[in-house]
Amino acid sequence: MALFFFGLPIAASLLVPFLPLSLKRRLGWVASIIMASIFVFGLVQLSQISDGATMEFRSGWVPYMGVDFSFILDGYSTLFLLMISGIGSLIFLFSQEYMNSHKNRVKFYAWMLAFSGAMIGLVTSANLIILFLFWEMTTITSFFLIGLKDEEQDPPWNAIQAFTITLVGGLAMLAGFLLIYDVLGTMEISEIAMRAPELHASNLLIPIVVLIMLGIFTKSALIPFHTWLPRAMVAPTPVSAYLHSATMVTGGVFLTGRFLSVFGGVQTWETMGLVGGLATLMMGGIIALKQTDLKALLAYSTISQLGIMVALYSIGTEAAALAATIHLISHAIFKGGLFLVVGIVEHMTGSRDLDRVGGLAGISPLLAIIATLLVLSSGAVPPLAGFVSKELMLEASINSTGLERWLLLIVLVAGSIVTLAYSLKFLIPTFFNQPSKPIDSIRRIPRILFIAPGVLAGLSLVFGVIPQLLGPNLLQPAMLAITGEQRVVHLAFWNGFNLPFGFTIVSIVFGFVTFKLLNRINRILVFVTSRSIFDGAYQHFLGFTYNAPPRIFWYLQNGDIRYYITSMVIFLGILVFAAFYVAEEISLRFLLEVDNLNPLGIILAVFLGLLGLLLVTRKGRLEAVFSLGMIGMTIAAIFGLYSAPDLALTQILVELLMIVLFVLVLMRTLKMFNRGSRGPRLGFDLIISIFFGAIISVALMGVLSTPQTSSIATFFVDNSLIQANAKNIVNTILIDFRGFDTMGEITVIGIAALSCLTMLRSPSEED
Amino acid sequence: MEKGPLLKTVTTLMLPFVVVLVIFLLFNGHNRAGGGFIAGVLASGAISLQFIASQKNSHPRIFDLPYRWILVSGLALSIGVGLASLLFGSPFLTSFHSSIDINHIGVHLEFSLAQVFDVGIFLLVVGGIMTAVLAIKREN
Repeated sequence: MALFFFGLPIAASLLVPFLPLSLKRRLGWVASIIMASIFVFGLVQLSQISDGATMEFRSGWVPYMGVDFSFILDGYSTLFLLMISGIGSLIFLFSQEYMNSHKNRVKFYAWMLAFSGAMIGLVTSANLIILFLFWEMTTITSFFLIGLKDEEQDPPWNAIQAFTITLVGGLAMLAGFLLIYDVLGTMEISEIAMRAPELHASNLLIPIVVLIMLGIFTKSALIPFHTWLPRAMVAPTPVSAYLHSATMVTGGVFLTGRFLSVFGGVQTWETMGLVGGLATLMMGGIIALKQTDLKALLAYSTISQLGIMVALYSIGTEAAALAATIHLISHAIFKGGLFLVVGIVEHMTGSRDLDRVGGLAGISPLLAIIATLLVLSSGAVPPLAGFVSKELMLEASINSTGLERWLLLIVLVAGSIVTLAYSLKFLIPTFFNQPSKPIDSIRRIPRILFIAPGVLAGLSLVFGVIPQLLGPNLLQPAMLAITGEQRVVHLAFWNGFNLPFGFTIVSIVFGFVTFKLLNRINRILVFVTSRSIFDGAYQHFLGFTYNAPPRIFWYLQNGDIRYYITSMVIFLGILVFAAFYVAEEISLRFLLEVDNLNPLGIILAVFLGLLGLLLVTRKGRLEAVFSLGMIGMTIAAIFGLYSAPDLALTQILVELLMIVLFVLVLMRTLKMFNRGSRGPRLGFDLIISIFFGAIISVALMGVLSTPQTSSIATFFVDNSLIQANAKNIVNTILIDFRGFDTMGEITVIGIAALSCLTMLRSPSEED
Repeated sequence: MEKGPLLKTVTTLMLPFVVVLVIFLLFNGHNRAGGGFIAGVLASGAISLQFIASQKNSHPRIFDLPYRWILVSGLALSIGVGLASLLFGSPFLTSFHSSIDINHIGVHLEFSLAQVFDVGIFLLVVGGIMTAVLAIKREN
């Protein structure tokens, strides 16, 4: 079942290029139906897991390293599954019309489907490595989605920034996962959670926490790694609505919740999440205030909301986790809807800049109603879903203790004020104020575009008025899954005149005041936030990585093959020499013992030496190729003599191919070597050759005369026929026992061939 | 460049035999000397030889095989075989083997999933080497 959830969109995305044209025109519908069916199946699952039962799937992958294809559908992953598929379905529906004339629309659907599959895989994975794989898959697919544009811009710097930052974080996270494996010997999240005390006692705990937090910070765009998110706004609006509100950026939030039972109560975890999250909440909100681009405003608002969610999950109390979970839902709904509203505004007016749009309520009252509902939910005004989650967040803060309590309360109230202010800045000028100069032309909006934001606005209202709809069915199993405790979740729209409600009133009043004063404080805002040291730091890093390697390459790759070979040989010789130096005991026996002596072998060896001399003394290239080929064949004969037929056969064929290739190249080059430049270096070359030859000879003697205590060879000899039903041991090692190595090697061959193609292709042939 | 007729005749005549030898090496590798890599190197060596032998204006059709697709399909086949074992609940790349006896004609066929993997290696090696060779040739 779990395979179906992430497999269906990924399979569909692979099929997209091969669809008939009639279906390609209706890709929005197709994708929407796919996501809707996943949503329905998710709902069916929900009824089965509401009592705490889970659906699990497991298949071995690399069992002896703890890596299994294991997936879990519990309350928490089902919650995310429903969000990803539900909002995904609406956004695909929106895209059918919205992306209609986009040049890259087919690519858009293919990557979007692949992305949603990766996202579903991420939230349903139960093994750390699987989680990491899907995590990186969302990074890669989102790179292509952010880079999607109507016009080609080369290279897509904004997409590269998102990719680089989240990739570095992902790798840090992988390192953290491997350290967990080092401590516990398991990659299964459920088992890690069960054995969390062992992890807490380990002295690797702090590195683990810091590394995993780095992954969360980068993915969820927390300070100081937030810089990629606003720049990712170059993506088409449906992409932003999907990736940067409800799915990709919630990956980090998801992980914080998933690891609640693992790192809950760990001081470093709490501090990092709390401080980073709250700082992000404030900073994101303040920068959002000064934006005039509607999409940029939403981007900073998303950063700020992600901050509070990570902060609440990481402090680890049950009330905070509940508040974070419900805020996750209401945020996904209103933010997804708001992005789509911006898309419609841009479609109508051709602009999304606050200075150029205005008074849209008169033109499209329906859009104004939808936007108002979504904005009020964002600003936590009753009776909308955002209000319910804000109340719970305040309650969780009041119920926490010590310094944490005051910190949370103050930042939360301040954050709410800022949030309402920028939400109003989004709404009022766009829809209710007259524009500073009249808009040139207004395009009609197709009705179908209203469906997705309309449904999301409706949900904001429904979940605000009747929050209990979410309580027992969705939140209760989710809380059970991450906290491990069965607790009745009771949500009500009206909880009486209590302390949280008082704070809400305060933030609404001050939020409105802040909005009214926005023009006066705008100069201060711009001044305070004008220089982003974080983005500057990234640019420096980027500049370094793009400028430093070419310098190193020019030093190492100077184009002189003699230089390459000399440096390789010297380095290898030194390495082998060093190995001898550090080895404790090496017996060097001269190998030519009488009973080992094979007269044919001696003849071949002498012949080899003569061929070598021939090779270095001839002047013609063709003669050199000939003697090189003869050397290879003689080596093959030696292999054959010492009963290694496979090796001999391979050697012969490779030699043949080499000669053919040499001839192909030689047909176009000089027939004679240019040895004029060689003179003074001859002595140097000779010394190096003798040094290298001696080192290798001694090394071979050492290896062969050192008795092998444990030999893997006997394993292969014993098991080849029994386990693999094969008599050729070499072949069995290659394709069966060591099949995984071979797979890596053939991948390298493929990449090498393709790079050869790219490098040798002349510019005129590019297709 | 003028080329002798000897080389051309011999390489053309040899090609069918080489093909048979390639198939023999490919499927015999499990029990005797041979295997996907060796068969692949032999096949691409034989095709490359055609380049040298072919006259300037002639263009044997064997050059036009979609080598890039052969490369990719080989890799896909090998990975696919690895993934297939997952469907049966075994770890990645687990091999299965079985044998068929067709008694009345005295044929005993042995089959192993690893051999399909070997076919993937063969395709990749041929596709890879030929892609590179064609690139070098075109450069000339």
